[in-house]
Amino acid sequence: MTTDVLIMRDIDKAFNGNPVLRHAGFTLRKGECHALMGENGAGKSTLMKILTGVYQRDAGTVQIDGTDVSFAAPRDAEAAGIAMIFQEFSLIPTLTVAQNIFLGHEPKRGNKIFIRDAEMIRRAHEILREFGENIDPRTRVEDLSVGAKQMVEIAKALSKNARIIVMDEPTASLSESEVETLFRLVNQLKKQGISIVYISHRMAEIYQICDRITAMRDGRDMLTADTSDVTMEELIRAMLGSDRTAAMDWIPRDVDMTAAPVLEVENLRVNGYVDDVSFDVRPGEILGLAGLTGSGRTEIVEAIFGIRQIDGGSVRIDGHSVRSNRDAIEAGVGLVPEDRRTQGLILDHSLRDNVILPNLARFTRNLFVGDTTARAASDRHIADLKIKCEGPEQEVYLLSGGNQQKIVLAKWLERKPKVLILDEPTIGVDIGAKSELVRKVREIADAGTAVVVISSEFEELLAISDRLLIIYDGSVIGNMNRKDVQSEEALHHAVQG
Amino acid sequence: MQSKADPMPQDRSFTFGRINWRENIVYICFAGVLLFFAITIGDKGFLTVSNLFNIARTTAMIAVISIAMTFIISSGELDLSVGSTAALAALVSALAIQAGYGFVGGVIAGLLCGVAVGLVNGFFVTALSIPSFLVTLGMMQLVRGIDMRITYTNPVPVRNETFDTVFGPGTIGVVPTLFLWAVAVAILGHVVLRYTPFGRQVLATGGNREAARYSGINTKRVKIICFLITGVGAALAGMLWTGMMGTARYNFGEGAELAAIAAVILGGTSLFGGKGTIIGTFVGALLIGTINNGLIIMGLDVSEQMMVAGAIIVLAVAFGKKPSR
Ligand SMILES: Nc1ncnc2c1ncn2[C@@H]1O[C@H](COP(=O)(O)OP(=O)(O)OP(=O)(O)O)[C@@H](O)[C@H]1O
Ligand SMILES: [Mg+2]
Repeated sequence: MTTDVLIMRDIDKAFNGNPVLRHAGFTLRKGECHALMGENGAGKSTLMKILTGVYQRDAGTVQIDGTDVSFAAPRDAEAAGIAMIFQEFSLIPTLTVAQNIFLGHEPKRGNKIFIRDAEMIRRAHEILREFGENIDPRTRVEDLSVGAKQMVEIAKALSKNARIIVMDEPTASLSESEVETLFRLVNQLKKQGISIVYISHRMAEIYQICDRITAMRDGRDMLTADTSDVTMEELIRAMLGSDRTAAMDWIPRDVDMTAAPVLEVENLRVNGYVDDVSFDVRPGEILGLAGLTGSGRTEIVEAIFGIRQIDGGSVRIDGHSVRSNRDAIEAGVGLVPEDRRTQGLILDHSLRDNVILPNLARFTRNLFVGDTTARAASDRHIADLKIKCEGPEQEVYLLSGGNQQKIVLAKWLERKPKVLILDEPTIGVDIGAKSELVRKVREIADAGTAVVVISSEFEELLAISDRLLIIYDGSVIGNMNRKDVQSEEALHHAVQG
Repeated sequence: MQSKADPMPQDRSFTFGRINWRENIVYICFAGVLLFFAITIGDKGFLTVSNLFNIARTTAMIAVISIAMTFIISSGELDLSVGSTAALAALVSALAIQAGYGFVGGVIAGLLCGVAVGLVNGFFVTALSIPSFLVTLGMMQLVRGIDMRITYTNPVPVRNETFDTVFGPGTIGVVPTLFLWAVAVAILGHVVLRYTPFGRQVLATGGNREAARYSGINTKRVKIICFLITGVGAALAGMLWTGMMGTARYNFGEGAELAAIAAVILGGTSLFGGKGTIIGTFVGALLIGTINNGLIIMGLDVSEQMMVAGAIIVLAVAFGKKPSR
């Protein structure tokens, strides 16, 4: 059973004269889950957007079931049975689940004018039930969790009889149980003969559910192999080249625990989310917050940053009480927020304008914002964090997902905060860049900044933290030194409560 | 109008030769319209210095309002109350001068009207989170009602030499004073929007309010200041109108809000916030003024003028628009 449903060969694509894809190739078999991996900006999303008709290729061929095709628009690709689930969901929040699933191809009455509502809801229900989802088709999409929205996206693809489904970093913002549901669904789709392209930076996931892997580097496919035939080291080398590593090892650090804490949180309460949380962080210390999605970690750090209303307790920086966002920023707190698209970036502004935004005062000389100094600072971050872009003037929305995430980091690194809070800082960041980030955070902490990190990737959390707080259901249920945590499994166990 | 969908990546190149049509549509249109009128009605007086100055003079008020409007639109909001506010400031300043408060007193009274309307708009939009479209639509009516009531629609003549010199229809050197006001406001607006931290905060607030907030920007304060800018800008325009006419009238600035929005959007500012250009706005206002003037000289009657001017605006915005997804 090795029929190729899709063959892409020698695909070239350039934007404004910059080549992004150079002779890239990709094949997909019937009923397989095929991982597409590579560094940030390697061209994964671009290659898939060419397949789905969002972009037009400059050269190369695409064959579906042995016939050459060329899609001028996403709806042509859809008609050929190809659907892409974008990371930025394409659902309409104010419409119901059923209305979204059948948007543009609603079942009609005999006269072809009126929609058959009951029929639409029934069929939506059927599709959702088929993969064991208990979502009421009459709920509005805006009231759903991220995981449920993704299920609706997939249901929408199935309702159009998709045979190839492209998932671009589908697990980036899912909770652990939602990831499990997704994996179950992927296996079920495979059994139905549907092929899946699975883009992700998470190694463990890839090895868990993908049959084959293609690794890209600089717009080329470097390696395609069965998952069982390729080791993680080989894969990393194919993606990063031989001269770079992706080591994620913990290095014990010396922190002066007798120093006065910079950040003191006392009996913090945020109704419905955080209940009586207290902890301290010292200068130079890296504190990891471990917990399940929804355990209240984000709410804790938002309260510290003064952007979420506190219902009790206090937050102090250097002994001074922080009551508002303004206090927090002036006291030297920086927060890299969880959601880069809505909270982190102004997508249609340039990289430079985004980087200077929290630092306007610093870049202002005699009333005016200094564009040259801002440019120089941006250039430094581009080199430091290896941000792949055309330059500081490029609009952020044109960059790949992982490179956008690096800009959010740059914004706050530029500020040189006294307390740096990172909420899921590596969503969508490739493994090479992740290990660079770990190094960078250590460097900042060595210089005296207190760091608080939230991450759902325990490998990363264990590599970076000096100390870990276990958060469960809005409370701190554990406080341990990193050296006392034996393994990732132990941490997994601890966060379950 | 605060959070908007992500822009979809797209091939940006829509260039012909070295000119980017889309971004420079307002300049191209302006050049085209000037050329067209120069050829067709150049000999009917369009090209005379006095007519060109006439265009500059009559456009000044809309230009000032449009420049202020660029700020509020860039911040992701809208202000429809500018026309009524202009008339209010015109009447109040004229009454103050009549009552013997002198030039300075009159101007302060006029500007305070703008501040007051701006504060009310800002309060309802930021503190109560009511969409600015609704708040300012209501204020537009409410203030116009006040305008009509103050003097029971009677005009208020202004006889004050200083007022005449500063806001009047005269010239400084050869250039009309009113036009100099517009240029001065444009330069100030351009510098503030483009080069100061406040300008960045306005664009950031309009580009993505949530992200601006997470970057430590007080987005409510930014919006209130923008409403103050439109209020004060409108008040200044109102006094310029008085200066040009010698009399303040309750119906000054009727329809000015729409002309100003058209000028702003023609100029290349995004109606959804986050992108703004004062120079574009200024040229947009001049373009609208030139079209109106040329059509009159061509001998079109009011109904025809309206149809042609409307069509040109729609076409220009259509050409200047980004391609759809
Ligand atoms: N519309 C565009 N205009 C200009 N450059 C673009 C455009 N779309 C993508 N690029 C560039 O192409 C390169 C590849 O982008 P792509 O999104 O395919 O990367 P990716 O492999 O998906 O990365 P990531 O893992 O970060 O999502 C990037 O350097 C990006 O900046
Ligand atoms: Mg991508």
